[in-house]
Amino acid sequence: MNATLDNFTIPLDEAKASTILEGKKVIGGQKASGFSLLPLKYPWAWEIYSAMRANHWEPEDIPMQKDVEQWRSDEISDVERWIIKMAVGYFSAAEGIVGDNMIHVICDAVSAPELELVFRRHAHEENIHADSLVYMVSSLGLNPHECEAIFEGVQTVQEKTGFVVSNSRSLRRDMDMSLIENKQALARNVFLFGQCMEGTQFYGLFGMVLSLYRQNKFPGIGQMFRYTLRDESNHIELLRNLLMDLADENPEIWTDEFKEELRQTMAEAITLEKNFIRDCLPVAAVGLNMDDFQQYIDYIADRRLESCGLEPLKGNIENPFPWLAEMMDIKKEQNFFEGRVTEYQKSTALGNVDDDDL
Amino acid sequence: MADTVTITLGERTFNLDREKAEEAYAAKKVLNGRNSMFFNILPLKYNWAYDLYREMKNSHWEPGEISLQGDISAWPQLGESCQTIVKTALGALGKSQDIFHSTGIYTVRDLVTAPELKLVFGRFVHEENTRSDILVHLHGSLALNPMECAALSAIPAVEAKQPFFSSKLGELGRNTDTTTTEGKQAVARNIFLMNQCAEGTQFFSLWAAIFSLASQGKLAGTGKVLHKLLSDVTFRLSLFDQLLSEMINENSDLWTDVFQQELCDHMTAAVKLEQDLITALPFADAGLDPEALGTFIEYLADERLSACGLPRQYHHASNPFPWLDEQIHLTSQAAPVAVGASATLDTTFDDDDL
Repeated sequence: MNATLDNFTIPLDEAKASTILEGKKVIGGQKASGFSLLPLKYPWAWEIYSAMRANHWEPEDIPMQKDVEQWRSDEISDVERWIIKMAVGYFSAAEGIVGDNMIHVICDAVSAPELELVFRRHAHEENIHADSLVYMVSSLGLNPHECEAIFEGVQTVQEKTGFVVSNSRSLRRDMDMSLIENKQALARNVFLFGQCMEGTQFYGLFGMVLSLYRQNKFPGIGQMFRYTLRDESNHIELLRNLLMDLADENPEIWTDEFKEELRQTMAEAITLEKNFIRDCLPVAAVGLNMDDFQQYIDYIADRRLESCGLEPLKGNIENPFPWLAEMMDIKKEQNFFEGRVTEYQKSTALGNVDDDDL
Repeated sequence: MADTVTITLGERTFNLDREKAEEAYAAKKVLNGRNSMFFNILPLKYNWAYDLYREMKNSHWEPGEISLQGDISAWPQLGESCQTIVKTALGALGKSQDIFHSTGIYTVRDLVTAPELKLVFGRFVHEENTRSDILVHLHGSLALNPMECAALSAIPAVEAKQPFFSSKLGELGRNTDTTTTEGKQAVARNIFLMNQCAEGTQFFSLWAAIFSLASQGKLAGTGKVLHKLLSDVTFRLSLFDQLLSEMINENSDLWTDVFQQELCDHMTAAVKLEQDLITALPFADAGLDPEALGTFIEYLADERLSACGLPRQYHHASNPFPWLDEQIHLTSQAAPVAVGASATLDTTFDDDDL
């Protein structure tokens, strides 16, 4: 028999192929020795992996000269500088937390090669995002300890962080994955990181930085956040797929009670995010309205819930920021860079392109 | 405002809160340092780690970019015994994660505490993916059955490697107490086995055969792919060599004579395993003299030992296959490891540090 993958046709032994396929499970699978990516059981994992690989970017691809000029000039207010510091401080911790969780919780739990592949890529992208923050800090000459101090000194930020960190830490142990409570604990982690954190709680600061970008403020930082956002949209989608297949293969976990628990987890995430926005984000300074901003969080959270087959918390909410949706829409990750380089291609490596072209 | 210190990086300046910066700096350790999720890559303590990360990302490559058109037409003319060597090599590469127990690298990442070390270690996820991309590209382009390759590589000389490494690797987990000498040695031992002994010497007879075929114009594309793969391996060797040096610097108790001898013994045992593989396959058909190939493995092992400050065991004056040096990036390994961490907070980084 043959398996096809992209443009390749790869010969396989039929009996061994069916053994490999039977052994592939989200959790508790049997891993075959040797190269056993094929046959694929989770084609979505290969598709998203291919998309992620094609989206490869490095921070230094994006020029920061304009951002540096603006940072030093008086056309930028201290409030606007605060937003950037806040974003750097929050994401510096958050990218590390997510990457750690992918390597030490999710990759630890899955065994099918296509799942390992795509979650390793996920972790790799968190590394790239963390590195992009180092690049922003070093380009602007920010005091990283000031960003950290802002971050450590605010209770609503600590609560938001504690919410995900405590969950991730509690799963770093050898868990008996035949037990329903452990399967549910993993499912909750997948939902928490994909839908609540990357899918909802990242969006308050994304919205702020991209509002500045929309006003032509900090174009380099804005561009990096758009690249980051494009990556996040893949992360949300792949963790959603993982959750759905986990529930599909282990229907005993997907009880009404558990579904309600996930909805309440999202409700808590929303509360924490709204508190954070109220406390830390000067939304009026970027021309936005606090009620609209909070409604946006409700709107996006409902979309995440519905995508996982869960009842929305509010229901029938309009998207108050259609412009933001355009910049962030998870269905538009391809080609939304207005003619800029969107795909990793050696022949058009960004290093060879004149800065003015970017 | 607290006392601040200004750091100049080329044209850029940083204003660090001195007290916090010194505190963060002092808390940075390879093992048993501050395990913070907060942003503290700056100030850098392990400059070499961030430099290495930069080198790695500047070397970003995709296996699919390397054309295998020439290899596809050369493949049928290769002859059965050379085809067997190549298929065995692919089978071995497909099993290397299991044979080398490379998930242990994630345990080490969990145990090291400085953020710049976590960053550079974090790249291993990407390198593992590149390995998978290589297998897709080679199996797909040459239409080789991965199961046939796995079966061909299931010979005793390959199979013997896995139990060797699993018997020598110590129990190491995220909760291992790394404050004791035994705990520190367990980390160092596993690093040495997984990297210098496993990835650094095993299957190099197979790699040499592929480079030999490539140099004869038969599998030039495959040779290029392997050359790039070994560039990733070389970065990792450098990472582990330097990490080991830093660990010894910070924990001199671990580096006893007995422990050094133990590591040397692991390496000589690993060399023997690879030499057994040489007798099991028809390397002469790929243009390599088996005896010289055995010497090459010993020469390579000495280079690995020397790079991490251990005594050479074989003392060959030169590589019997000097043309391989460039292919396997051996020259870049020749320089002795410079231990990078400065003893105090250095505020005179130059631009290269970031």
